[in-house]
Amino acid sequence: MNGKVAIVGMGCSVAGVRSQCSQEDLLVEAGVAAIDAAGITSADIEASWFGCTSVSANHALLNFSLKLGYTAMTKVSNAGATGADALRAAYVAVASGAYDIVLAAGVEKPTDGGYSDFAEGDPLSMGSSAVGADAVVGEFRPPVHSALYLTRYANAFAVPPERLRSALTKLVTRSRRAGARNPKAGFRTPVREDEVTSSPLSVAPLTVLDCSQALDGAAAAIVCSVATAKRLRRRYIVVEGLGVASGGLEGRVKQSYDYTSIPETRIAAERAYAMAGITDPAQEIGHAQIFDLTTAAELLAYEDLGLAPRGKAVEAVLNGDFEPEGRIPTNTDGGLLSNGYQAGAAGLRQLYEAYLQLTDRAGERQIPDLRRSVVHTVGGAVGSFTALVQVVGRPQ
Amino acid sequence: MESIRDRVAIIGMGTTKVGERWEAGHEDLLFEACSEALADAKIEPRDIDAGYVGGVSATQTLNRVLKLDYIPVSGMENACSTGADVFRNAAFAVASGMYDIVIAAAAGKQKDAGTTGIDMAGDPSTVGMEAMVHNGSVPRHFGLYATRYMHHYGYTFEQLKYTLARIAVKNHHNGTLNPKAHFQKEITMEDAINAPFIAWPLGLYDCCANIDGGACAILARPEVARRIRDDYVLVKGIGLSSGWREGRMSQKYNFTMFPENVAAAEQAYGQAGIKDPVAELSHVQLHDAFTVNELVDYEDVGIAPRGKAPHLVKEGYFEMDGKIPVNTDGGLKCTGHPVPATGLKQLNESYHQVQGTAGPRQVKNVRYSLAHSQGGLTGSFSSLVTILGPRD
Repeated sequence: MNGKVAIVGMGCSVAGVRSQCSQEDLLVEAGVAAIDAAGITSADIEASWFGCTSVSANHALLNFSLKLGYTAMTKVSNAGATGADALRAAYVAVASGAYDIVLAAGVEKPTDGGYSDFAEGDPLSMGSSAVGADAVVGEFRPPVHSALYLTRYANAFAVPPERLRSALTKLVTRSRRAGARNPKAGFRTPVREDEVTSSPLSVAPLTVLDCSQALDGAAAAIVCSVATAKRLRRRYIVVEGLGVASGGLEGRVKQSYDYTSIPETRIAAERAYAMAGITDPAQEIGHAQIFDLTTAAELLAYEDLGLAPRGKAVEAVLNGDFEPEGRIPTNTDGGLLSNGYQAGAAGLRQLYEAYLQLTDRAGERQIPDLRRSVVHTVGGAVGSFTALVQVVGRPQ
Repeated sequence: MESIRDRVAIIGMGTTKVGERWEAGHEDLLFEACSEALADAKIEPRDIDAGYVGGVSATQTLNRVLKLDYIPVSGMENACSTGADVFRNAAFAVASGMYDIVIAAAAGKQKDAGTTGIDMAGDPSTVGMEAMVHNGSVPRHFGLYATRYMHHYGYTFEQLKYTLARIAVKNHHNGTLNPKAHFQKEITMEDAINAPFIAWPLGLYDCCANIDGGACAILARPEVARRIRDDYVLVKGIGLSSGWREGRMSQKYNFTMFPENVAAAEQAYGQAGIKDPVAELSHVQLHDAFTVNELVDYEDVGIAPRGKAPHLVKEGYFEMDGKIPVNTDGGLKCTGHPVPATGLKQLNESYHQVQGTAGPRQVKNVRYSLAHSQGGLTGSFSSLVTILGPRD
């Protein structure tokens, strides 16, 4: 598949508490922008994959919103990685040759549920059949999962609490500064270091500002073969690598699981890099979009993605490696910390920033001479994460 | 674009016993279906490179059930077509060359919902005509098509009831030949015609039962399949069409056909190179959630002329010894409807018919078999038509 599949147009809604808009409205906002960017019409779309965790395929939400007629539509569901998995299904279909031009789109309106986090028991609940350690770990809220890893990580690598706190704080201030420069971000105000450290504890040692919030939004991508992308004569990016790994509950049922790394991310990254022919990610990747559900999740991902040496993520963060002017600028759109969390659109929204960067449309956030980005998305909970790692680059 | 034809092989399939499976959880049903498919393909779980699983929040269950740490698994949902769409996406994954062996599985525990049909809470965001059509029970939707079909083609109520009863009697007969069917008993024409109404003009025997069950398919590229077994079955074409609410919004929508079915069949026939379905199909599985659904499907997939299906039903055209046997496993009517798994269950019968392993239900000299699934409601159906055929 390497180098055969292109993304020829993307669109993304403004993130936020979008109470004045329906899911349809958000899909139109993102979908029409993607269709326009690709220089096509909705009649050119042959099939679509739709990420949304809150409605059934029954509602014809996507085909109705974008007037896709009687084309094929599949609803994809993969917890927090839903949007990214919709993209993957679209890549796979194009790579199989079944279709020329397809759409991957996702939407979520979690704020309608009245929560700033996931609704209780859904979608992470493992159900009443879980017992023992499985039930105890599985039923935790996402920040608790993050904190478990962080605590264990700090212990394993003997990171002093103050140093750990400084690294996390640096991630928050960096992402919120980036969000302030992103007109589509949900939070467009930078935060100071003391605001981060003095904000209420969410799950020790994470504060509220270390955690992303559920916000409404939609994103869409037009996926096609590279040959078709050339014919459309629009700026496009190429999918160089794609790796996916889903856990089988190891983290919840094995005593040997060590909570200092997320195996799903590590394995997905290995697969994506192998496909893209990348042997030294820290050297060959110029930009990263990491799934920062919490700063702790982001910190661990640097190591699992091979962007920082094992046990050295804190040092690399404090060294400024992932700042806009650093070695590998990360979450230049503000990350989930600024854009919130929308399961149906999450991976798509993250890819949108890579698309802008690689087509030289990122404005004041533009990274000079960027060749290749890695986009990382995770859904699920300890032991049953699904991690997706995409490597995208400029056309050769 | 490149046709899917002959690029994907089925190397194994399995289904659970369908029924009121109070003793089995969702994971147990997945395990039962997957185990049968793995045994059929004579492979081990570790041979699987990727998984596709049907149903919301079901993604992580497959790895858990099969002890498959860290293979990629995707969850898909497409209402009552979920199983067939999971199969379709797994087929694309195989055809793309990314994976050698891919598993597609789904299970449904409909009985746990405590309702005998699908609980239709309605969608508060719909308004006007859309709300009227959309927010109703599922039998009511199909009752609309039965009423309109009768009116449009000038059939009397008695003629319609006779036709629908013949379909129910046929499927019940076929169900007696299927040890995994939920209902394994014959019914009479009188039973069907005189049954209590569920949603006029549909009676009890016009409606399938939502029930517990699971199904699984294992797919591979033909060059891989060849190393595993001689009698693998090939995918000849897959079409999917999803509605865009036209049936709920447009006055022109005529309620005598399902446009999604027509579009899906056209795509699948195009890929399979089938020009004359009546001459070229040996066996067909149609989504008979309701008898009228099967009736209209005959015409939508082109095995009966428009408005003429009742005549063919009367002739016994779709019975086991007819021209084109339909729903030889008993259909949804008798095997039941474990929603996410049903599409795979339909494919399972087609697979065995093409392979020649359908036992007492075997149709002679099967070449192409068509399996159809239809999910959703008026205006937002998702129809899948998959055509299977023998190797080489």
